Amino acid sequence: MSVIKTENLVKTYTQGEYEIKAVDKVSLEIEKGEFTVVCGPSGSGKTTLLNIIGGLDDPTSGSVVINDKEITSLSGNQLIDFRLRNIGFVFQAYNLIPVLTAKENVGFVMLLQGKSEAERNERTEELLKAVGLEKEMKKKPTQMSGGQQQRVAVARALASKPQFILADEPTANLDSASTENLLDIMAKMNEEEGITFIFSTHDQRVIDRAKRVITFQDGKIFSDVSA
Amino acid sequence: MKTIFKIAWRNVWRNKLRSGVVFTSVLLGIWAGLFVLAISSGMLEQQKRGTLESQLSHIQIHSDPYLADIKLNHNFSKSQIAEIDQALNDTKEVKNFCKRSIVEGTGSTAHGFSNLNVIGVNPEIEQKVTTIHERLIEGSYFTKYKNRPALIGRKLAEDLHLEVGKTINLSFQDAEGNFIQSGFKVEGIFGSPSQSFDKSNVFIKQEDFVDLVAGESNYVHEYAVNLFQVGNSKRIAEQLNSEIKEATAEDWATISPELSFRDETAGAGLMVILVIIVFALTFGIVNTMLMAVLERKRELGMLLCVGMNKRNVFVMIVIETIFLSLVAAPAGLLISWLSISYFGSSGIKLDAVGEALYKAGIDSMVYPAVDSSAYLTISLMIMFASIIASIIPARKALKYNPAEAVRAV
Repeated sequence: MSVIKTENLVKTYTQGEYEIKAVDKVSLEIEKGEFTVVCGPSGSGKTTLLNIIGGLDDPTSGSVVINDKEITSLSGNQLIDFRLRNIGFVFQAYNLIPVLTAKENVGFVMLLQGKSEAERNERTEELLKAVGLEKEMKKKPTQMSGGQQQRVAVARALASKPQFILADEPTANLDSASTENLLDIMAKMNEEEGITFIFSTHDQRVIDRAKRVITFQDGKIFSDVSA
Repeated sequence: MKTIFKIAWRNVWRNKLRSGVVFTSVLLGIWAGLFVLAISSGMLEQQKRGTLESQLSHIQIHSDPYLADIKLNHNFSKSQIAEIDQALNDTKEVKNFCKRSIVEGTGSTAHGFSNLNVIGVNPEIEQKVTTIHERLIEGSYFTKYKNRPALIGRKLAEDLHLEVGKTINLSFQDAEGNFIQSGFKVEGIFGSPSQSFDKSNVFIKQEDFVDLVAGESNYVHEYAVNLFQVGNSKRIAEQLNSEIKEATAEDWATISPELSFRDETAGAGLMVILVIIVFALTFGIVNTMLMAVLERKRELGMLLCVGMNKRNVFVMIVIETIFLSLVAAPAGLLISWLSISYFGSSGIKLDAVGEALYKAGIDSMVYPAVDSSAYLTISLMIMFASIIASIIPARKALKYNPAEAVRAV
C-alpha cells in the first residue's frame, strides 16, 4: 500500500527571463514502512520534492496523494492541520524550541494535536527513552550536544504518530558517532514499528543504510534502486 | 494556549540585553510620563489653589452697580449686607466668608507709582478666608503697627523700592470725588503665586479705610466666600443669586475664565504628552520584536512546518510583545508612585525658573500630584501600544515561507 504517490509532479521557478524546472514530471510511489533516501547533487531537486511531499510548497502541476488524499487541493489551514496529523519533520539544524526542555519539545506537537497531558507525558517519556534520552528530559537544547538535539527532533517527529517522516539532511551537522547512533535509532524504529522514513541527503552513511535509493538529477529521477 | 503563554514568557527572557533595553525604556517612559504629568498637574493645581486661596476665593458677591462700574459709592446697602449675611449663614455648604472695602487708586514712593486696588479688610476674618497672612515673605500681619499699616505684594515692593517699615502713599477719590492721599507703613510683604496680583493690591485695615473716606462705616464692596467643596461653587453661586437682590454671586470659574479654561483643558494637554511618550516607546518595541522575529526565523518556520497554525503563531508573537512591554510596567508604576509621593510631600524647588513661574502665577516650589486614574491610564496605553506594536512583527512572522524559513542561516 503506497503512503505517498506523486504523478507528473512539476515545479518551475522563474529566475529573470529563465524558467527553471526544479522538479520535472516526477512520478513515484513510496510504500508504508520504506526507509528511502532521495539523493543527488545540490540543485537536483530533491529538497523541492520533499517540500512538495511535505505540503510546504505547491507544485506547478501534477498531484501528490498521501494515504488516498490529494494534498495539493487543500487550503492553507487544511494543509497545516494535515501536516500536524500526518507528517513528521526532521531538519538539518534540529530546529528545537530553545526555551522548552527536551520533554516539552517532544510534547509540543501533541499539544497542538489536542492530546491530554497524561497521554503527552506517557508518549514523550516513551519516545525519549527510545532515542536514549530518558535522562535528558529536563534539559534545554542549549544544554545538549548536536546528536542529542537531533534525537530529540526525531522523537518530536514521531510524537504525532505520523504517516511518514521527512528528514532533510538530518546528519549534516553531526559527527560520525552521532550519525551512526541516530541512524541506528531510525532504522530500529523503521524495522520494529514500521515507520516510514524519507531522507534527503548527500551523506553516504545514510545512503548505505537505505532500503531504497532514489537519485535525482536535473529535477528528474535518474535512478531508483531498492536494496 | 498555556504552552503558547509559556513559550512567549520564556522568549521574553531569551535575549536579556535586548529585553533589558526595552524594559528600561518602558520603565523610564512610564516614570517620565507620570512624573511630567504630576509636575504639570501639581503646578496647575497649585496655581488654581493659590489663586483661589489668596485672591478669588470660591465665590465673590458684588452689588450690581459695582459690577457695572467700580466706584467707591457702589457699595452694598445695609439691607443688602443683612440679606447676604443671612443667606450665607443659612447655606450649610459655606465654610466662611469675609467682607471687603475696595477702591481703585495709586500707590507711590519717591521711586515711582503704580495703579492698584486698595482693599480694606478685617484682618481676623480675612485670614480665615484667604492665605495672605501665610504668604508673608517679610514683616507681620497687622500686629506690629497700630497707625495705618499696609500689606503690599512682592512685585509692588520691588517696583517702588519698598521695605518693611517704609511708607507708601495711597491715593484715591472719595465718594464725593475728592482726592485723598495718605501714608501707610508697610508692615508686611506678601508673595502670592501671581505677579500681577502682587503688583496691584494693597491690603489695609477696614477701619483705616473707613476713616480715610470719612463716609459710611459699613463700606462693603465685596464678599469673598469659601465653601467646604470647591466643586459646589457654581451651584451655590446660582442658589445665592436666587436669594439676594441687586447683587450677583459669581463662582471662581466665572470670575476667572482663563483659570477655569486651564483647569478644564490641562488634562487633555497632558494626555498629549503621555501619548507622545507611549508612541515613541511603541517604535522601540516594534524594532525589538522585529529583530526577535528575524532572529528566530528558523524556529518560526519550524513551528509552521510541524503544524502550528498561523493564528497561534500570531497570538504567540502578540503575547510575547505584551509580556515584553508589561513586565516593566509594574516597576515603572512603583517608581513613579514612590517618586511622586516623595516629591509630592517634600516639593521640588524650581528656583532656576522661579521668576518665570512667578510671572505665570505659579509658586517656584512645586508639589507633584497626579490623579490615581493616571496610573491606570498609562498602563492601558502601554498595553494598547504593545498590542499595536506586536502587529507588524506578528504579520512579518506569518509571511515566512516555512520551507525557506527552516533553512534560514
